Amino acid sequence: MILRQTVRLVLGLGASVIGLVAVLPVVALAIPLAAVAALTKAIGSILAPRAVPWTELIRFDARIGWKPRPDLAAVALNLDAEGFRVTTDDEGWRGDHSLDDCDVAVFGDSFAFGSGADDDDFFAHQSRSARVKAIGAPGYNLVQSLLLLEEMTPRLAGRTVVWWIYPGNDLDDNLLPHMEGYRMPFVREQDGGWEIVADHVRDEPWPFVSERRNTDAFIEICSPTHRAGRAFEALNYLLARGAETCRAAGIRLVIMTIPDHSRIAHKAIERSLASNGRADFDANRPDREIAKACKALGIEFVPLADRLTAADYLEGDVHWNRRGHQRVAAVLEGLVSESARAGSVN
Amino acid sequence: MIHLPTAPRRCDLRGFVVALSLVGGIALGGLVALFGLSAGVALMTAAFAAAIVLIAGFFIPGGARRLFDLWSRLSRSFGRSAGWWVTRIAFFVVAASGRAGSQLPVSRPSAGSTGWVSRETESDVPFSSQSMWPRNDSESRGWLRPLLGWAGPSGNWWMWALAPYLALLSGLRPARRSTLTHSNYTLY
Repeated sequence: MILRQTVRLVLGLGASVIGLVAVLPVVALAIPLAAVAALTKAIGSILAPRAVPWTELIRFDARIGWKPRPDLAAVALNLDAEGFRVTTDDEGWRGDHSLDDCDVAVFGDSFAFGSGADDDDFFAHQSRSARVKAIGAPGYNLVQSLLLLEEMTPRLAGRTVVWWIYPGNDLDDNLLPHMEGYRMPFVREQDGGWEIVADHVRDEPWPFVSERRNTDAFIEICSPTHRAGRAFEALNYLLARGAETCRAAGIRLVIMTIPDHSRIAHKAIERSLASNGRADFDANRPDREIAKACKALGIEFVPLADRLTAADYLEGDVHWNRRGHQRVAAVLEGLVSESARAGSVN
Repeated sequence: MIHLPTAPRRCDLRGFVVALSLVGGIALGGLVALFGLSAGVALMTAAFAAAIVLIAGFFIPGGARRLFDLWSRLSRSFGRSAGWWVTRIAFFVVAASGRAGSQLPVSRPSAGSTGWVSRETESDVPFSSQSMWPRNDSESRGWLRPLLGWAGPSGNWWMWALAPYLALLSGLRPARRSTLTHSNYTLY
């Protein structure tokens, strides 16, 4: 047995030496490739932004679930693991102006928060002729935005409020009690009507966590499904409540929908459609339904679908790049100058 | 080992441009020196090559990304071809070692019978200490050391002759995509 093992070792070593000669060119050619890969990794890790995790950027809020931390000056990571500088005011919101001296207050989710945008690129900082305040945080649904709007109504009287709707996930999120374990207010059908539920909001994780499937939910909502019916009914309820709040306080309310022209969202939708084969998918359905609801409620509606293109979005993220923020800032400036012309600005 | 990150961030692209300028400069400078030109000329060549890469990467819009993609394709195709070649060399080592014969009593079965034998042992999961195969549940712990550690006591010393080729093959293979943990949370 030992003899056989020794013979095998000797034969193996002999073959290995012959093999080494044959493998030398491969090693010689691999050295520069390996050196570049190793140095890229090393230098890349040195240059990588020292970002803080999301848990340090937000704090629990007993009313709406979470808010960005106040007086923040940090680097956050976008979906593509790129860093962006974020500064918040003493209430936790981005934008140089305070809520009390702004022309326009923008309510929304991660788009209003400016996910992926450095402070210099952020739409509220790119507006020259309009003082813009952003009230938003990543992951917000429209219920959270509405509750914030209602809370801030006394400070917004006589101003313009822009309420951003991102059909990519807002319409479905309105119906969910949590976002990946973080409890949030939502709407539910009760006795033939709709109501906001928030009594479950606590600083403990929601116990029944399900995977967040934005793309599948968006496809269902853009198709004639039961889920879509509920989502649009809930949206009508929220819009009506928002319109009533603003009308009573003398606030000009403008609804804006945020299209998802990003490359990664398009790819995800194409992939999902290819696998589930929905022929009745209509990406324009949310805009049509929202336009109809706004018309019925007498609310101004501005779809951003025609104002933004794929070039306005980040490479590996669904959010806007600097150019996208610039374009949105221009739209907001246009709204303010309209208001000024109409003499409705305070 | 030779492959670049599959989803590069800005910092990876910058790191790549710097890395390529360094390696490219040194390689080109070294080549010039090999041809017998003076050290000054070699240094100038190295600096010139590094500068060209830095300009292309940092000052031409999209240049870093194009260079990165080009280099990635190059390393992938090299990895495939070199892997094919090294695999054959590894087979050659295995075949040569096999010339010593098998320690298993292998013989052709007579007509109507089979050489297969029924398994009589229990599952090796609760008896891992008795198993002849090294158990390594975590890839991050590495496989080379356990393999070499197993080779001696199990009487497979010839595995030491094969190990360099296996190591080289693993370096030529693209890194596996790491899966996200369930607790990852982005608040998107």
